[in-house]
Amino acid sequence: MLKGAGVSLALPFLDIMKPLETLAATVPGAPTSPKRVAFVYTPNGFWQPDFVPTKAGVGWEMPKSLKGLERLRNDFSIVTGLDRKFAGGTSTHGQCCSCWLSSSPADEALDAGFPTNRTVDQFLASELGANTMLPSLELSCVDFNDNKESRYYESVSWYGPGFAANTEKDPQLVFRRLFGKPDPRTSSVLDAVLDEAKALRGELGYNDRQKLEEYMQSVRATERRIELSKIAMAKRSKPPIPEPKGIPEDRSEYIRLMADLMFLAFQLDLTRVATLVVDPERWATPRMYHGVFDKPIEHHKLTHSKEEGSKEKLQKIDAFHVEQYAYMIEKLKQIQTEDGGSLFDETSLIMGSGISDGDKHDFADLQVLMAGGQIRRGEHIKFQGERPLADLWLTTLNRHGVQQERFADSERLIPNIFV
Amino acid sequence: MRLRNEDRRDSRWLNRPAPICIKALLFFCGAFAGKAESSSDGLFSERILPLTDNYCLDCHDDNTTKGDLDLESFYDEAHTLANRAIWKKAYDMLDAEMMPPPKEDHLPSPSERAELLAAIAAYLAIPDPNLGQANPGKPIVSRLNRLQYNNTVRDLFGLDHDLFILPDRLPTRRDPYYAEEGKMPDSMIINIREFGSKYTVLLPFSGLPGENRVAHGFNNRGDAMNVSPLQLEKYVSIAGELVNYPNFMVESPRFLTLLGLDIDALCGPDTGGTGGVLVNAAQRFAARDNVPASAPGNDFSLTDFRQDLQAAGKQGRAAVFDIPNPFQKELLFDSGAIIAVKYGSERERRFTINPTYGVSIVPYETAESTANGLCMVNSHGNEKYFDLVLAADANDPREEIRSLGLCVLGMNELSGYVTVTVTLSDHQRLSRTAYVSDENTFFGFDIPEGSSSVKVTIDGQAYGGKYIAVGDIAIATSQGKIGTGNLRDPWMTKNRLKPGWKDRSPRTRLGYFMNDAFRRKATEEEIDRFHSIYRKEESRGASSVDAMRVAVQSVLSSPQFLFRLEKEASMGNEKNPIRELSDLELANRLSYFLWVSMPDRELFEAANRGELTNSSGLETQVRRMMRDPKIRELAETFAVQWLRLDQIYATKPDREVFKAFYRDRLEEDTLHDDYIIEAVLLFETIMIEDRSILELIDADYSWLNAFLLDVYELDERHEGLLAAAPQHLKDTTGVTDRTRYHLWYRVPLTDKTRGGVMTMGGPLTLTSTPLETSPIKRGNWMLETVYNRPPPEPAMAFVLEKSKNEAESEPKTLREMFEMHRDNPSCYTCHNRIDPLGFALEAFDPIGRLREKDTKGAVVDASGVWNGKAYDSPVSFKSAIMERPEYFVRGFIEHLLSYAIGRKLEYYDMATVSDIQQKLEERGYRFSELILEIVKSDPFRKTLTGRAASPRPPQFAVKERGPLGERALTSESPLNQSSRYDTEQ
Repeated sequence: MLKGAGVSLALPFLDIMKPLETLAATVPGAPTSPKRVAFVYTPNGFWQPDFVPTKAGVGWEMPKSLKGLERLRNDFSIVTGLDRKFAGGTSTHGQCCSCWLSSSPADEALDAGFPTNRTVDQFLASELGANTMLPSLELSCVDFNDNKESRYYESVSWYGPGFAANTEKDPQLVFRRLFGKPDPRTSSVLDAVLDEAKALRGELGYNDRQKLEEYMQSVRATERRIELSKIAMAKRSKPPIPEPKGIPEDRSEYIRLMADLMFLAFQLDLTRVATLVVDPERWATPRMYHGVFDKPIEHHKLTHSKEEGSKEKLQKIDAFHVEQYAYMIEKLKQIQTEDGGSLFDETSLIMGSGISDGDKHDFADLQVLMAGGQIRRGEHIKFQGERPLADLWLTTLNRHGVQQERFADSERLIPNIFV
Repeated sequence: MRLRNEDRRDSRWLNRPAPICIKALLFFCGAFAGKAESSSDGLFSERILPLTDNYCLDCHDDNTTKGDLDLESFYDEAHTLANRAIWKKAYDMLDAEMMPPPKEDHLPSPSERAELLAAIAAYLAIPDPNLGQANPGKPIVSRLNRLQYNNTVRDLFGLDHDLFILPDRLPTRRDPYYAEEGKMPDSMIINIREFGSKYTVLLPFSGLPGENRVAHGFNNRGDAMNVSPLQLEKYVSIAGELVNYPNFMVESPRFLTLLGLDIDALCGPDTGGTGGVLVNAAQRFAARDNVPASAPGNDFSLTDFRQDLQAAGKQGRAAVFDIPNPFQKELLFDSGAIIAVKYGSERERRFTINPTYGVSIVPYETAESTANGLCMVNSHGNEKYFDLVLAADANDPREEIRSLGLCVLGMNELSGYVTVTVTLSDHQRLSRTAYVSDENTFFGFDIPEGSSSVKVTIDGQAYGGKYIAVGDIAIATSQGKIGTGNLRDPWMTKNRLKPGWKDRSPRTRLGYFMNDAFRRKATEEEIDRFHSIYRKEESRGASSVDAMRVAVQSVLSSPQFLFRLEKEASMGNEKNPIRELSDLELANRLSYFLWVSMPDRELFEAANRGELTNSSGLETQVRRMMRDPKIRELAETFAVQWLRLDQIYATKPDREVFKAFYRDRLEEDTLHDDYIIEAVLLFETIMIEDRSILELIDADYSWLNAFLLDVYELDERHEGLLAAAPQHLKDTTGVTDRTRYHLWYRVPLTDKTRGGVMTMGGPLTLTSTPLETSPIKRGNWMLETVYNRPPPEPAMAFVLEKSKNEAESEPKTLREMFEMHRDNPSCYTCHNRIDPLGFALEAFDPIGRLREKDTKGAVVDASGVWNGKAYDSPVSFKSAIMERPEYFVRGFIEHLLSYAIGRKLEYYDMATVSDIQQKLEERGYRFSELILEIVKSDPFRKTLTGRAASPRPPQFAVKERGPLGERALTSESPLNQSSRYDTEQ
């Protein structure tokens, strides 16, 4: 935290601002089995009858939408029955996405009625991202160009109330940010504008200054990224994969490419925390699911449709997303780490949606898929009655080195999720 | 949480005053209260409270608090005054007759409702006791959004087109724009670019991420825009690309000068990768003697022009460009590289031709070149439109063009009208239109004194085929009295960077640039700071040009460029919590409101003369700005977002069922564009001709092309309209259907089924799903767009299925199912508003065609009651809407005011809105009056200062650190308070 600057919405990396010389000594790429966490968001809930196993514990039947995970049965668990509270007055779809990872209680609506707040990935970033080039990586496959929904419908990662982390949507630009050679002039530019911002700060009132703080923090974060990318680049002769050529047309290719980039960043220890928004909430724009339907289809509309066949279609979309998740698990397992294990052993891969039943906009009984070496696998962990989703995030935080007693409206740790 | 409620109920029940005592308490408070309360004169206690007590407290007392509203908490007047935002909400609910719930037995009479509304309005208009006057709102602190950034950089460097491709740009140029004339033509050609296709920009492979819209608002709201590291990196990186992009120097003479270079740096043997070329002038104009035709109205014949050139040539003052042999390969001037022609005798001069809009130099088989077998054509097929900026001598602004000639090449088997327009630096236009057959045609112009450069526009949109070709181009020049600057950079004048100033010191050049980039005068310290970057780079071994590039990149990445900051606000006198904006701040507000860009030279100068802080000076500038082509942004941004037209491309009607929507097999040619343009043209007509804003919803004309005439079943009018169109627009032989459909007519309507945005195909389509209409979406669109009273979000999605099951008999139509749905009291409140509007529009199918039966074959019932008037057709529906036009007017003022000041409106803006509304009523709702009243209003001209703008350190800044992590402790932050009723930002 910058002292005395009146900063309220500190970006996570500011908490951990170390002199760059110190960072240079903590060489990225040689961690002692670091932990990584990735959150994958899919929108509009899941078609419940085909997604939720009935039997809890082990040996549960594989629901239709999870069939793509059958071969990986012992690599993941499904957690069901966790709850969130809806804050009235704002839209259900906006809130379920923007507050999935903040899990703030409904009465903590700091952001114009929305309970957005610093999200669990950003808390993790301040701990796990202390030495990496990017404290966290925010990716999204929301390639709609129309101006249909507000940012609440497509932002899962928030630095603080009302302050969403921007996402990168173009794999080519993700690649360049991760592996590109920094322009030497950029550092000069950043020095200059930081001086300018400092000089300006004294002339501003609180509101203006807050915007300026965001700006200055961003400048510092960028300086830091550039310095660390130089160190990382010095350690490898060329980028690990060829540069992607923009957004692939095929939906599944797009999602997988983004996941690949995310895991490459994990593998090279450029970041340890990532979020990937597969699709935004609501957003009534039909989209193509290649190989699933032969024409563009609107996910959200299907959740409320009473037409014949709409539930089958909904199930197919869920299954499609689950397939991508299965791909990600397999990909993680294929990537070898320096100590001979796989990236899977060191990563927690968490996928879910902010509502359960999309038709009813139900914030209760959420489903979360969890995979990775830290996770107890092969189980259906089922919660009865009211149990806040925040308990899962609290447990995730603690498990990954962020020691907290509370997170959002959490009540207590969940003992049996991680090994 | 549940427990807490129980506790609260018990304890509060004992402690709270009984309702009957409230009035007495208020009188008591009023009597002993200080100044703050006295201003309300018992308004609240005598006029509001008795009625709310009677009609509202049943549900909204501190016990029931339905909708989290406890009106009983308002027993203390100071508290009430400080929480008036809630009363604005109450006002809106009452006004819309959504509260008390319409199905209640105990409802206020119309006169009671009117009295209560008037009283609340008066109460909301009471000046803030802490401010002593109405609250004008906080100063603007806003990052430039994508469009603002693009336009600001464009105008800062005098570029002709966008910096990068904006996916939300309208797919048409409409150039020349009709703002200057103040009158729209009756018919015109509008060329539409294929949606999503590339168009001419400086950096075709770069861009910035766009901003999300704000729910019920626009994407220019500062409070919804943050800067994150990713965002910052993108700004720094695009500025870097810009300053290092070779063609940028060519496109922007201003940038070239800033680097300390002149035109020769771009041409000749060492072109430095700019794609510029330097060639020698030819001896003879149109040497092949194959130009038999001449445009009507030419100032001279081809023969005379040749003689003139010969005479001028003896004095070294004739330059002929004949597209010579060095161009034997095809050359693409997509990004506007420069062609310099060397001429002159004693002194070597540089006649430059600068194509600004996608031009190629190619051999063309079906056209006969006038000299060397090559010609100049539009590089994007179908555009048939390009500009060339010609400078008599790029290195000497005193050299002026005296006459100008060029040849348009005829193509085999094609013909049509071609217009060549010469725009002078004072924006005066000289224009010739010729019917060009397959013969080459000469165009000749005498150029008035004072034109060191001109822009030549070749408009062959009505010509057949996909390309328009130009052959030789020549000028005769003379030495003028004074340099007039360069057309490409029209607002460069005395105190600003000029071409001749390239030899000034780097610090001086940088300082001039920073004044413009910061949209105010840069201080010496600021200039020093950025100059030191220049020096640092130089000391590291960079050339002076490269060092300047880094300095310019830094300026473009600095907070003072990237943010709109009304920073004096924060330095304001604490004793005076409100201040008037300065002239310069007003100039910035005006230009970002009307042009979505930085102020131009004239506006800056008016601000420097102090003219904007007086009403007449302000009015003069506003009226001038509305005549500037840049006013198109108000239509393309405000109107498009207001009507949600930016979402139309995402609506894809089923192509099997709605074949009429798709005009070709490839799905490339759809009605999307036509629908956007129809609505934009209506808005532009009202804006440019200064008509009544009521025409937005009820006009007796509409802009239609052949496709829309067809869809609207007005095709029988086509022949007549075509016959009335000017010859040069319609007389196209060998044209494709597509071109023909680019002819738009302003069609007088006798039947009001169409006319106004509500019954246009665009809104009707974008509120439908691929197969069906959606009365809910249409009703919502009406409430949000037309009335600016969007219904609150439903607590849960309603399941029609349920009412279906509960019904004794199976309902037959969608409408019947909705009626059952509305029987649920909690749904009724909103659907009582939504459904009548949505169902009225059921008369139109999912692509906006009139229909009698719905997609399932049931007869459509579009009847209902609105504003107390029954309707059964689009025509009578429109009359019902027009029964109370004031509701639309209020909504429209609110939309535009919110857009103008880039913030959400608050309760304290209500008085401004009704004040503007009253003035508009008196002045026939003219568009310019609305703009003027907005810019003269307090929210536009004043701002809170210092502490008033940020009343206390936001409490969410108070963080609990430690084992609980860092979390906010309180929900009572100003952010939260001020926007409690905004569903989202």
